[in-house]
Amino acid sequence: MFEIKAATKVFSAKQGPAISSVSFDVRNGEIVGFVGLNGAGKTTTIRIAVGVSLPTSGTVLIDGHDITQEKPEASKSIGWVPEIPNFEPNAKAWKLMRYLAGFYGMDGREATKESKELLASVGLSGFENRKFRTYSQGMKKRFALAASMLSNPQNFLFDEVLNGLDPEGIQFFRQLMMGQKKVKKAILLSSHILTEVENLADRVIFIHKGKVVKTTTRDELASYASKGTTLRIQLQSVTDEAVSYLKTLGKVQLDGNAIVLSDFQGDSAQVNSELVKRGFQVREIKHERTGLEEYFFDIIRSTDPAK
Amino acid sequence: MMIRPFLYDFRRTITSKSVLILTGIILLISLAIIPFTAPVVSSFGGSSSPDILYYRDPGAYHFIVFSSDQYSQPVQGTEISMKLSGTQTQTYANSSTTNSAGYAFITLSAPNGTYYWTVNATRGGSSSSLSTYLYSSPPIGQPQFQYTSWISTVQDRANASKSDVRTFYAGLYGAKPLGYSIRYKVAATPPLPPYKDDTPYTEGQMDLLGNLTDYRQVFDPAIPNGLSETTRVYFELFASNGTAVSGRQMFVTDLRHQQFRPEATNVASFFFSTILSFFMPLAAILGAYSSYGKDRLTGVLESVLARPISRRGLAISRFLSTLTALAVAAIASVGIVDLLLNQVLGSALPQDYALAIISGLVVEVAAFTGLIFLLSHLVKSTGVLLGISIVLFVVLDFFWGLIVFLLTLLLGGTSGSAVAVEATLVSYYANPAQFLQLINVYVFQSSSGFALQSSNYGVTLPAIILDGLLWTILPFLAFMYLAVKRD
Repeated sequence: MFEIKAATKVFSAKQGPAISSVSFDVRNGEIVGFVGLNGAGKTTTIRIAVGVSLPTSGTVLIDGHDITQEKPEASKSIGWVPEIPNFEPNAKAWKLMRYLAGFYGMDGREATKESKELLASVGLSGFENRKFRTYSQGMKKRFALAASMLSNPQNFLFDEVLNGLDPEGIQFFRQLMMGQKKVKKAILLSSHILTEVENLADRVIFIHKGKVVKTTTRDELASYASKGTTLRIQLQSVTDEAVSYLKTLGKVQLDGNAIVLSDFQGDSAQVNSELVKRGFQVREIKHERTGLEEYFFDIIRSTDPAK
Repeated sequence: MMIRPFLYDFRRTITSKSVLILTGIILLISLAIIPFTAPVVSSFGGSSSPDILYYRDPGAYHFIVFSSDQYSQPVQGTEISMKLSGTQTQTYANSSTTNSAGYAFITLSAPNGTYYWTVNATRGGSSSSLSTYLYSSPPIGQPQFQYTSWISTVQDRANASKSDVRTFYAGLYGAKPLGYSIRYKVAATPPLPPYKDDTPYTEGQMDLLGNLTDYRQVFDPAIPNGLSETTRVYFELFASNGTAVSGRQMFVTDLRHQQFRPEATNVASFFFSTILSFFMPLAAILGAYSSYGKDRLTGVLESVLARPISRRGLAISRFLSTLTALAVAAIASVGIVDLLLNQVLGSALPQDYALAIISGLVVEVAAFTGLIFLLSHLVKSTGVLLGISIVLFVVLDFFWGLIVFLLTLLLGGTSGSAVAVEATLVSYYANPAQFLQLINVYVFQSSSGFALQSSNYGVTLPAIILDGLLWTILPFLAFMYLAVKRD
């Protein structure tokens, strides 16, 4: 497990802190989603947690080892996959992997064997002799994943790993994370793809403007999701009768010719057929937000009314 | 700091392709000393033109011409024609033929003034022509030289491998220079200029070469064998009352055709302080850039920093591995040079001098490596880092002398003055690329071939050691602070 305690990072006194007193932990056997808008401080937090950036204040404990004070010990227990993997571009993949393996005390033969096995395990068999710079974005992420697994670490930090991946890549990472969770690894997953976070995470940490604004458990999310989804219904003309009917299904807000139906639980197709049956001309019904997205924006709004 | 990842990174960096290539290049550069160990063979130029001096009296210009062969032996029958063309239309011409002593005496009845002077000398089927301006109002009666120096070298008649000196001089109003004497001094490391009359020595400090009895005479100065090719020979003409009249300095190679075997220490000193000292900062800059600067500024270093190695360990391993590789290359280079000098010249470098050179090279490498590592934390892109590095190299290695010279002028000094020497030596302290120069000044007690007491200019062993330590440690400490305490 790893714990971030009151981590603050100030890059420039003029700009204020990038993150401020960020605290949370990720326990073994747990996938924790890390969600926030662009610039919220997710990557800064993760870079501090893996030891490539120094906190202005606060501490990060990786399996009890302070990442600042006991970095070598702490780093042994971390696997980090950054959003944009950045390795020596002119090195061949397997040589690069073998080089990195050396930091974990592997001798040449062991490092070579481990490197080739790990590259194969992430689907890079047959591409070991290619230079890193020739890899696609997805291949680079797979390489970074293999590199993060060199020491079979207890803790993983995935920073926007799903960005830019094709469906097969997303599925690969999803399955990998589920597999690691089963073997009791602690995983922090930062992502913009909220549906993936919603499906994978046991908890979700919301960060906004450098501060953790909410931590939600899967149960709380489920409870929120059970409150229903939001439908945006476009009718030919909005009448009191239509509004009265829809109020029986959830909360109703008018937005021009559209009716926003929130807290709706049920089948949107049934709503459509019932409205048609009642003589309303339905131009469009679409799902506006669901579950985590809705929850996320609610949280953002509650902490930052400007949003 | 866990030692294993540190040693691993150290080993990987020191054996990286770029560092190995740089090391190889430095070793190859060491071989460039070979041409400098070749024996020096001096060669002399000859002239078929006659020697001419002149003096003026109130109504005329009088010319004494001496026609000679390559041994400065007189040649009779050379036809000399001479013309003075005034600024108006007046011209004055005359001609004569050299006598059995090789002399021709020509008078042109021209008043004092500025003239365009042409001389034609015809001997056998060949002729030579000279022309130049004679400016007005030379001191009346005083011998004047236009093309000819009062002293020059001529080939020895009996031994083609050496040269003698010939004098060509006259007393007042063209009288034979009776009572004048010529003295000389052979000096391996002469004192610093400026000199009075081109010669740093007094009459008593010089050896008598001979007394003048005729306009033209040939002397054979005793030059010891085995001198280095940079040895100078100073000549001074003294009047009968001991007054120094005119001086001239020559390199010993102007006088001896024999092959001069360069001295091992001189060759090494030149090679290390100019050639290797030039390349080592460049190697350090490139090494530091490839082993640290590039990786840090492109973000590649983070992929290593995420491994089980401390920030301090990574910073130290990269610095020490770069420094070690280049220091080993420097040591090997000194070894190769020593070996070559021993083989070719038969004399090895003194051990303490070799150690001093190695220390100097290590200081240069450490300083430049530290500076580039430090700069890697102060700039934002590899382009800027390379740009600043190149500027640093060019300024410290190429233009340092010019900068110091200009500063000297600002301080009111002139080239060769004590202020200029002091400014130059002080500037060596401020520039790691000149650290070997500092060592050479201290070891040889000379600067630019001139002898000096280095302690008079603040060049002492404790000061050099302190300067070396500061250049080695300060950039490194500043770099370490940023590497460990800052992102």
